[in-house]
Amino acid sequence: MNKKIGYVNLSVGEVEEASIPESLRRLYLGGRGLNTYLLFNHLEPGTDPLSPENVLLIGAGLLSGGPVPAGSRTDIAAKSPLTGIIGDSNMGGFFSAELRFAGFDHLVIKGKSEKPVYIWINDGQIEIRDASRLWGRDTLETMDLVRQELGDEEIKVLCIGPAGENLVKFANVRTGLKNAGGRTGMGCVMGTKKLKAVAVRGTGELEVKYPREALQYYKQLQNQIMGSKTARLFSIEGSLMQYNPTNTTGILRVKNFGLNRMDDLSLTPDTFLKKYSLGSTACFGCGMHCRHKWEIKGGRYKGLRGEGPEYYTLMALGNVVYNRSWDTLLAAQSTVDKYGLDLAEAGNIIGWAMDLYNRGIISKSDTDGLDLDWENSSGVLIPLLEKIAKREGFGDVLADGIRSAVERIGRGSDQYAMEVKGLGMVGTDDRAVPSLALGVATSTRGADHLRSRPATDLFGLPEKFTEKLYGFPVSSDYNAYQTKAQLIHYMELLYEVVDSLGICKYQTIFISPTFPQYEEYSKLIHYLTGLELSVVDLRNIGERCYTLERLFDHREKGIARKDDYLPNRYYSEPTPSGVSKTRGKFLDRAEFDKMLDEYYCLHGWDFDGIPKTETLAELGLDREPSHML
Amino acid sequence: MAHIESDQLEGTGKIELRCLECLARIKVPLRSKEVECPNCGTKFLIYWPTPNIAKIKGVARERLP
Repeated sequence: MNKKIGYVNLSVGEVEEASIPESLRRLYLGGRGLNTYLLFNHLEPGTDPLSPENVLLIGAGLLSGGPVPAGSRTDIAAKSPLTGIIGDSNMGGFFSAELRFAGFDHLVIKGKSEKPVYIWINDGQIEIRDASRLWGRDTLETMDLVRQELGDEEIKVLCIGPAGENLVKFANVRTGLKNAGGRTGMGCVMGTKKLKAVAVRGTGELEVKYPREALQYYKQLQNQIMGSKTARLFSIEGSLMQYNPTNTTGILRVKNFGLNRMDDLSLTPDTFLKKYSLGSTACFGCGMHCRHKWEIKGGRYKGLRGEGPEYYTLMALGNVVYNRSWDTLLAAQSTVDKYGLDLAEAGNIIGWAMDLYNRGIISKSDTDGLDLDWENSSGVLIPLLEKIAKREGFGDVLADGIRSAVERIGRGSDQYAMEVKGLGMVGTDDRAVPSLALGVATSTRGADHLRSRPATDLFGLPEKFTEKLYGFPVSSDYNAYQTKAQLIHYMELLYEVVDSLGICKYQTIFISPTFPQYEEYSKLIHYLTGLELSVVDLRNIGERCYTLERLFDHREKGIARKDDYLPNRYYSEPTPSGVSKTRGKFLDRAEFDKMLDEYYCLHGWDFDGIPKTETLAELGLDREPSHML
Repeated sequence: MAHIESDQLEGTGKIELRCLECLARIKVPLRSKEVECPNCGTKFLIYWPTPNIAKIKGVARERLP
């Protein structure tokens, strides 16, 4: 815990450092939690997210880089230019570990440089360097050029591509061949600051308080995880393993929101593994190595190589836009990776545009002559992605996000926009699964499943198991509304802790009830840092951090109950297909409202979803902003 | 809030799947390409990511109400 915060002011070119007090670690841990604290404290209320006054945070988790399963995550936060509320994205790879080896846990970046720059962090030293010859380069070129300039192939680089430079509001931040901090437009914030990249190299050590116990426990957890069927499947199929069950069940968005199952089975993991896969690799500290490496061996894109794709890629660049070609999907992923675009947002907005076109609401005169017929998805997906990244023609209409595009197009296009709080919807169709729907609707960063997704709710786990797992029974029926607010609340707090520790969710109860959670994290924290944080303490930390995010959202944009709903069609249009538990389903508004009431009560928020005064006092948030750092 | 032991959930070690229609367990003969749920009759297309793990690829034929 002896790593520092680096403060970089790009307007005046100044760098400062500070230590992180243990008292703050006990309240916010690191990663996402401490980033939220720093954002709340350093950002003036009402700041324009495109202005130099926006604050960019880059944070390693409290346990990143240490002997923990998959301690690989980096968290990036700012006020989102896409939504106007908390911007927060989380990425795997090797950056956070290297940042910690270089002596830093968090970076607070303010101001704006006159010319393009990049930040270079090398074993305790922070330098701002000229990036003029990097500006305009794609993300992969940028990473290579930085390593060449600095003369070290082991340097880890976090950077933006042309989309970030062009201030596309859902531009992402990238590291490595594939890892991305995708959602909420953090790449756009870097672009506004003329900050092309952050490069880091560290040869220092991480102090482990009880190394023998830490290593022993790490091995025990690795065996626990890798001994499961889930891990074995993940090691082979990666996150794609989720696709077939969810598609067959009928809980995927297809053609924007027209269907909930893809009956064409061209885009399935077994085809990918047979035709494209070159094996798999891993992020820092991960035994599961779920990241594919691939090559297109023939056809138009012959020779193209990359890493991935993920389950989310398959949804966003597959079923949402009705693309049924693996070649096109992989080439599209390569495009978003190079340009630095959030594929989730891009897929969602393109799916929406195609939906409008196929309904006759827009035509070729709007789309620069592109034929957005569903059957022509393969022909338009990549040209559209490039137009968005370059802000050309129709791409410029889409580049500011879906709410802006709705305003510009009008013509009743809002009815088909799939978004919550301005963030594009996830690729799943949650009409039949109230728990998943509640989680997406209430997520503090907008429509997002990673704040709380209880994937195991689909497993039909008996109540005796869920009582053991969560401490309370959860209905085994995934159509049920009862007990699901408790489940979402539990998962939100847990994932807040996971993101603050810097651990990958694929090695938590996100995908398997046999994987680690609170008890394991309490032990890991103690062995690595010496901190004694019980399960109850960790839950309180989760509650504190999550409530602070909600407070931020309310402060910046008046976020309240009115914003915690899915698009109206979720409550009125029945699903057209699926298994019997997902066919003909839509959300019951009255039951959803009851879940919201219970959810707010569990958080200690009032009827409108605003944190109560007594809740803030209990969590110590009545003193925020406290300016301790 | 303890974790659940893996063998409590992974069954007896036989090759089995959960039916996505009715959640019943389906025994899957090795290397089969299609399997029918004995409880609800839904037929699923099967593939084998490893020689002894079967997965559902899609619905072969739905049992409609």
